Amino acid sequence: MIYETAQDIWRGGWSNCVVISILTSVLLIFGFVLQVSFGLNVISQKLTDQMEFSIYLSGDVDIKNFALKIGKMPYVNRIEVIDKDIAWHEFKKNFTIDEDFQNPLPDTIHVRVSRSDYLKSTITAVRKMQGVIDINYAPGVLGFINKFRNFLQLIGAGIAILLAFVTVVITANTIHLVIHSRQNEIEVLRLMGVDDWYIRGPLILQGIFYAVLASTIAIVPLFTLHTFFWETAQNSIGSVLPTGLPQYSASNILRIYYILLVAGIIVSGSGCIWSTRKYLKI
Amino acid sequence: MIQLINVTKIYNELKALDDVSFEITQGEIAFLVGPSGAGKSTIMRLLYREEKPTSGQVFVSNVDVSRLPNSQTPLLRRRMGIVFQDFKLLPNKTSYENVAYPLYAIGMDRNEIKKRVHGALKVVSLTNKANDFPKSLSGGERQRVGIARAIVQGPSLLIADEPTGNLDPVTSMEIFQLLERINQRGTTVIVATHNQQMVDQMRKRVINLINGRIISDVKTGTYTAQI
Repeated sequence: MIYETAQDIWRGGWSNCVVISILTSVLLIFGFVLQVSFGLNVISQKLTDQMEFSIYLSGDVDIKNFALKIGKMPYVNRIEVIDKDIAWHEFKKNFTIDEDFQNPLPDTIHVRVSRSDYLKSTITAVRKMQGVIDINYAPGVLGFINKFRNFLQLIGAGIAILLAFVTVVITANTIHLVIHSRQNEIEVLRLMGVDDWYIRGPLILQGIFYAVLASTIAIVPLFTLHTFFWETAQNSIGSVLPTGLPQYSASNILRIYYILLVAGIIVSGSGCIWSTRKYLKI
Repeated sequence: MIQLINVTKIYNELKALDDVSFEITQGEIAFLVGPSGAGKSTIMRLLYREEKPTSGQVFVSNVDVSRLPNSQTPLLRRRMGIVFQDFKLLPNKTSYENVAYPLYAIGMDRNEIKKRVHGALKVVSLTNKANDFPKSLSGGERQRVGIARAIVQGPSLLIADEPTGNLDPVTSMEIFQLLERINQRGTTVIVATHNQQMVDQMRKRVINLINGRIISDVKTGTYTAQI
């Protein structure tokens, strides 16, 4: 069957180059969207990690009881209690302050929620609680991140579906051409009682071959782009974050390659199956 | 061997076969004759399950092929050989490769393939042309390669649809004699043909069709006698 597949590919001549070029372009765009999505997810995750808020309490509130109430709230991931006396003690270690100077610091609780979406509702609930002097958080950044991420995911999904459809159609048409050029041979085979899989098999393998080759070619420019974009992100967004952005390892590009390979095989294979079902009468 | 019972085949409201019934026994040779559109090729296509009847039953070796599941069709076709008017040889393969091709595809052992292909080429007297490509063969030789391919799997039934349609009278005679020789080896042979002269000379069973109906079925008939 592999020999038959190789023969079919050889017979295809320049049409193979056309298919592989188009499929490579499609996978390149798909991979680019995927890569940017991955990158933004990492950045978004990093920003989400920064998203915690601080509650400042008045002096008449029992901080431990208050912290217990906060800890029981839904979506609260982690809390950190900073007693005003301990904070003042630590502060005095670093700065020279008169002994009779009164502790101006409030009791503080740092709260982290499980997802940025829940931050606003949690803050609203906390603000209504008695003894809260102030709450510190960054609502503008949060809203922007959430909206941008949702927008990107929507656009990414739309482009991916559209490209997948285009790829299926292109592959199906190519296989249709192969079936047409092999019409005589296929007819002889099926009338001689050759099994269905022997006739369909090489055509499906041909689709898989296209996907493997196209995804391998596509990953080369993607690797270059990935290096460039991640360096840019490190220098811009990474520099304003307190902890910076994590290093984007080579395993990420390998992961994109695997996804492209599997996506290519699924999409191209679907095109082959569609075409053989439609045009190949066995 | 072959039995058609009240078979009707309708294509887009056009009746290709109208209540056709006949039987061909094991080892028999029969000619289906009649003008174009009489239904000869439709019967052939029903036999190798390329078509299903609109109504009625088609039996080949006691199997109702009209009810045969698609998955069983290749097995049915391996038990019969089919010869085409246009030979259907693959131009990029030699005579040997054309005959061997279906055997490779069903996964037969290479030594067995070699033995069978040489045997089949010997039956059609083409062992000296085994390495020739179809373009270097004459029309008659091409059809003989087609016949070798049809008999290489040792079928009990040989179906030939207009096997001499593209050949001159002398070559046609050779082909008919070859088919008769194959029949004498025990293979049931059914031939759809226009070739009046050859049918008349063979003096074998002739089933005459007109407008999808059998108008005569004679054991040792002639084409001309029927029309």
